[in-house]
Amino acid sequence: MPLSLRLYRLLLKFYPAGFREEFAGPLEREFRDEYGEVSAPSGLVHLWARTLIDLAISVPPQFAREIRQDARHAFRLWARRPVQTAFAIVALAIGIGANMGVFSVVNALLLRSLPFREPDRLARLWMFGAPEDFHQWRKESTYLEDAVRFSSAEVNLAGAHESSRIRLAETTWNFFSLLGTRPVIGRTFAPGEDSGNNAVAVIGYGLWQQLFGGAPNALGAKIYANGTPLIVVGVAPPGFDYPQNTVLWTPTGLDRGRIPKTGVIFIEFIGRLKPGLPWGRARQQYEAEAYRRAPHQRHADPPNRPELVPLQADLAGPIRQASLVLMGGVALILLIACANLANLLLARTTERSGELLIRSALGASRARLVQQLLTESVLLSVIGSGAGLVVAHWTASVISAFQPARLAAQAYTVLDWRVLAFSVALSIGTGLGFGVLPALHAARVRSGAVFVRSSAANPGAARLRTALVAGQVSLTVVLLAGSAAVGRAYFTLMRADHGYSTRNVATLSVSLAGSMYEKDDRAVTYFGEVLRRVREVPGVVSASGTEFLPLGANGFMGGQFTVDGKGAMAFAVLIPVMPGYFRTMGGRVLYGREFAQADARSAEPLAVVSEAFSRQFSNPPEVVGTYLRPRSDKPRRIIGVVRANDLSPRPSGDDPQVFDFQPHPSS
Amino acid sequence: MRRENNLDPAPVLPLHPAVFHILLCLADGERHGYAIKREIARRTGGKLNLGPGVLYGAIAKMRERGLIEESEERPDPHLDDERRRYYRLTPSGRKAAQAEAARMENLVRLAAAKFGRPQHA
Repeated sequence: MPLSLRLYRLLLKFYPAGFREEFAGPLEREFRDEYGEVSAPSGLVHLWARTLIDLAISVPPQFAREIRQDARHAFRLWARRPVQTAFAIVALAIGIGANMGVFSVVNALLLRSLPFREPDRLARLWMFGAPEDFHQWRKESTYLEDAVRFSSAEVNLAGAHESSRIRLAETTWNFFSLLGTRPVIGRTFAPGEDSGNNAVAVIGYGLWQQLFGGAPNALGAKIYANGTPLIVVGVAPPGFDYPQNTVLWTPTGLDRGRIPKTGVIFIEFIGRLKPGLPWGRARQQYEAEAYRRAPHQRHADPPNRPELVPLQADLAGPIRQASLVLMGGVALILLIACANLANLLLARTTERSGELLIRSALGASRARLVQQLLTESVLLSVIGSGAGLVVAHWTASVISAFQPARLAAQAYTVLDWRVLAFSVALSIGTGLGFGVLPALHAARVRSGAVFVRSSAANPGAARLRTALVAGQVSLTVVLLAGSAAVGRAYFTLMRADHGYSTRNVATLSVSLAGSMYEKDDRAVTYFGEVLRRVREVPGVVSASGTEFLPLGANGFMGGQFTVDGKGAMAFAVLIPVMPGYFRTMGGRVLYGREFAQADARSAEPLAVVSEAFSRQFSNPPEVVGTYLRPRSDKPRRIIGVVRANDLSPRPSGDDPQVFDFQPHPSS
Repeated sequence: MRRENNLDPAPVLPLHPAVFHILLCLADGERHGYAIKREIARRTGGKLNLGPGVLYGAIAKMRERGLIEESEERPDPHLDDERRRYYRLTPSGRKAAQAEAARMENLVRLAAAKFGRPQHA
């Protein structure tokens, strides 16, 4: 048989089973007739062109026709068994929906490009020995086409009508141009605008809507960040909030003292690799430069190791592994749901053997029966997916509520094209996956065979169902084991003594930077009055303040201390607190006492130390009443020894810590 | 499932041009699919050249609507190919073709009244 005829016969398989059974013969005959009339190679080309177009036009309507027939039949069958059908749809909604929700997170973190120009060329780098002239350094760089220096912090924003607390990013002038981000209206920063007294700002799209109602007259408006006036020159596009939920950008990356701020500020650097430069070579040049700049750094230590990493990997790094593990977990859940549904459909197929026999006797081929059953299962799966959108949205919302702040730039959405494509593929794959076994079993029905309504008389189906149940049990055991391990770790973490308790504790972040209470002496008075009023609120049993909240701070102060000249100086984290801190946080005072309200009227600087710190000098009870001597500050009398606060999620309890209260801070 | 022969053609009007041409072909007698295709191509001067998939898709629909039916009569075995299917017009199909022709005639009359008849070369 000529190749063309063989190929055409193969292509006829694209038609649905019913149409193919009836018309494959005539179609083949007609193609043979036309093929017989071809006399030249060009004629063969024309014949194939017409044939392929004919297939493209005629196959979809035939499929639609048969699927409509099968769907009508499926709805009639489901109406007779509403409970079973509802159960199947709910199981699919949970299985598919959870997968869609987790995949939307994986997609946003790992697959979807960052919303920047050529995001795969952007790198996060750690600078050792910051260059004196940043712009000169970036122009001379051998591995970076461009680089930006920035930092971010929370500030008080005062606009035309209201004040709020927002995140500000102070950058060099080329921040937006490096990322390739264009403003919606106005402009971004001009070259050189990060030097001199340029009080300009770009605001986020959401902030523009909130403060100015999206009006163009936002350009030129004056706003205040921690009391510093800024003129709005541009608005960032919707969804742009890099880094970390930033809504205000100023070109003060090289003059960070212009806008007063409190707390620890980290300086960050990102760069764009030179065109065509491989990542490996860029890393080599970067590391060589890092060693050259800071030869005395202990580069082998993990915190000091110079690193040049892709920006996307840097943003996703912390929860990449967790996301992939979660994806594996929900995939197992879906497999269990599929096995369950396959079992259900197999049981129903066995009950329908009479119907299938009659259809077979009336001329329905094996392929037609298989097509009908697969259509039913895929349809069930698609309906389950539709219901699963709700589960997907909820799953994505739950995950986004627990994400680290630095990942907040990634919006999880189930409407991303990758997520939708994944969902469609998953729906169809699931339907085929749990439908194929019952369909193949149904295809073994023979005309004239005895009606078999119970699996007891149908050993093949019984073996299949046993295998499915065994598979479900195995997968469930795997899931349970994993869940038990995670759950045990979680409960261990929750039960551990962290030196404080989070039960019934609410926290609030306040900054006085740029306000009339900014000076230290007025700040203590201000906070004292605020806390007094808070304690009068019904339901409040205790209130206090601290410079650094455990688990919530992104940096700490520290210093070298000794106790009454005993022993060498030792390092300790320094945590300024207000009176009543340990009572409010549920901390444990082991010896002595903590700071009291009366201490605010005293001129004497006081300190409370952690047990781990005190053990470096003496027995913990014996340090109470002695003096803590910082390397370069006034001595403080130690009034108590406490259990240390765990500053990270991992319980340690043995950090050397000094809690400091200065009612009249030194000038 | 095929619909029974229903002599009222209204539900199937207006007819798709391909369907109308197939009915016209079968008005002269039974034909198989390839013959229908060639006759349509000849009558339209090659302007309507139905591919086999489109042709048999239309035939399947027409059978469902009772406009045509498959003929049991076949030529002599030595002239026949069992893969060919022969079709003939049903009374419903004949009525539908007549109704469609009348509908088109009314349209042509209406158009001529509005725009006049075109002058053909």
